[in-house]
Amino acid sequence: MRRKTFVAALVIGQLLWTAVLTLSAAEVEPTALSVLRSGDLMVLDASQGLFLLTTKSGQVRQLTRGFGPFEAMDMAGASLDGGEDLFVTLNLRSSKGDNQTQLVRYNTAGQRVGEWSLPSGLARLSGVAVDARQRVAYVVNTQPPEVYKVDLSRPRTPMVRLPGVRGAQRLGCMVLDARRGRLLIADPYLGRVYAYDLASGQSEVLLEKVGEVGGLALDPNADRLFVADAVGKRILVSNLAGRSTAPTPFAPQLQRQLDEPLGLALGGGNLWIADRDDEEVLLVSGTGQLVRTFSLERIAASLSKKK
Amino acid sequence: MRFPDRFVAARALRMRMAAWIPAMLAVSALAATSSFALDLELSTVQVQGGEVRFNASPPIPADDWPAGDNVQVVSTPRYIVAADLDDITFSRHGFFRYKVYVRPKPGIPGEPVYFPVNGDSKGLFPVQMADVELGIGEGGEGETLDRKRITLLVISAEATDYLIMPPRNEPAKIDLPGEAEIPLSIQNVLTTWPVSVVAFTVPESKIWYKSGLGVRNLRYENQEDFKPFDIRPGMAESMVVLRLVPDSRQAFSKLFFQRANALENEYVTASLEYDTPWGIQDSLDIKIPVRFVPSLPLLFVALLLGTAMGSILPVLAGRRRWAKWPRTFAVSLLSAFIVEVLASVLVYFDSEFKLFGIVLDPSLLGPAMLIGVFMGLLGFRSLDVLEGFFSKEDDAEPEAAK
Repeated sequence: MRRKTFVAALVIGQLLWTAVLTLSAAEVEPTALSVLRSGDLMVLDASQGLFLLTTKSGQVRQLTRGFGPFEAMDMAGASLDGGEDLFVTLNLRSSKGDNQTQLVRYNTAGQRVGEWSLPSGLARLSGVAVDARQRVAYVVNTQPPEVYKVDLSRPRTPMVRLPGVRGAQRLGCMVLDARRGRLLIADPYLGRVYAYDLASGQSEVLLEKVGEVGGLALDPNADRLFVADAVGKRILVSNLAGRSTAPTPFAPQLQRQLDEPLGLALGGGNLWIADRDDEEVLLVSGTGQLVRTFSLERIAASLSKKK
Repeated sequence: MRFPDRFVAARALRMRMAAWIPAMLAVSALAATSSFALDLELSTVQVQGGEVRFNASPPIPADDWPAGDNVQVVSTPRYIVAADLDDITFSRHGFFRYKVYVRPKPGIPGEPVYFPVNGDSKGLFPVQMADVELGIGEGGEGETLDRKRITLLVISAEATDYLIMPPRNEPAKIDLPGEAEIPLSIQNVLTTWPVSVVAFTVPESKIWYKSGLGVRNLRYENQEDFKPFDIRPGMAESMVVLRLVPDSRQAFSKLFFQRANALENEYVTASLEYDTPWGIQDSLDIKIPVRFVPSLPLLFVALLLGTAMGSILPVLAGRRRWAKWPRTFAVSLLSAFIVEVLASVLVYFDSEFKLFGIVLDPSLLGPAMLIGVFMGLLGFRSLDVLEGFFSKEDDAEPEAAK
């Protein structure tokens, strides 16, 4: 009799726990990705926060519960002091045009460990790229198209404005091409990718007619640049070492499957694609074969315990 | 059995062709989608207060063709061009996305496609329709584009108020005890599109026990379980109502006294977060003066208590006897009631009611109680006067009889 009561209580408890988890479930809309050394994936949701996707089990854990009144735009991962860090650009849009904008450093536990701000005004940061060796980060302003340099050794120091990107209309995501000492910066409005030389501050159009660029990923070993066209629902690849950098479709069979590809990340020779509209993260091999799809549609929004 | 070599060769060729044909078809289909070199140009449009520039991305094969009331269609010599004005989205990079569909006319090669078109606005201007010149065609050398004007919706990305509410000077009356419904004359400035109210907040305050927002004739929602609703274009006034339930104790404290000439004795502030069909979010902050008004029975109770207190004081002080108190109280209450009514009429007609030089609002509990106390204090004297008056008459009657 006692055993039956115990089993019944256990079943009821399990049902209640499942109900609680279902009620607290959140839908994650991935906008940017970063691969950790462990092979796990950090996922950025613009309003809901940072999530950790354990790639072996497919489990997703929420690390930060949103960003307060701020909206996240982009994320870049870097290893600075032996550990791993994530740099996120955040914007607070004010109806009076008095925007606030920040670059915030998080550790992999989701704790805020540093921040840099621009004076409040009309700035709205979007892309971020980190040069871990030089201990600097670069961020871009959406409009006017400006580039800022951030000293990561000294938190809360002012950002230094570099020459702007000539001919650009609105700047989005970017990656660092360390080998050539340049930034590759997307203009999602004009559908271009600019090459911005860090030494001279000069910029030139690298790619054209690539749609609304939502994500960039650079494979330094193969010298290939992957481009996510959010509206064209496609991934393009450009051979930077080739005579022509004109992009070609990558994994064209995915075009029907993708809805709004945004963030891209490379890890272990594979490409990760964040599909915001479908609330999915796709793992694609270097040759363009779909390896696995991780659905983020309903995940338990449980905060990890802070150490 | 052995087949002749030519049969084997023919079968091998057939098998090879069977394998190649689908592959060729797939490649040609892919080529058709990616190399269909159609170009779309849209000119910059100038409006009062700003401008909108357009940039078209490469075309994408269209599986469907837009339909509905807000689809703009134009015909060029070679193409049909359509834009669905209900399908405009706002990019997180601050520009608007349109979809412009293009279909070749019979005899013109090509498949239906749509162009993702980005619209970048500068300046602050109201949402409006504007004629935009378009060019469509295969934009190679020596090729000319078909030119035509299409009407598009142009929107400013800068802060624009899509919902407005004129400031309200007259306080909204809230009868106590009870709850109130305050009609809000919120206007959707868009003439064709609805605006969705997606969130509603009343800042935490001790005075409001519950608050809700809704459209008249619909079920009201509490702040906690608010459900979004649309404000239709050109919506009539007073269709949106704010429902407030004041905390009785806090509200009663406001009913006793108030500074002179003040019409309101509290404000309610609320914020309505709204969303436009193209994804721009903003908020409308509202501030409404409110005035708590005690119900008539409550006012009478205050008058009664004041009169009781005022009339009992001389007895407690030992200057009057208990025996006369009930009659005194009745007379005092009657006179207090008359004074209260007179004072209310005076105030209603913008006059002032003063007691010991202090301007009082007789519709509040404190002044009503004061009137009661004052009339109660005068009660014994009034009774003496009345008794004297009647006793004189009683004395006079026998003399007249004589």
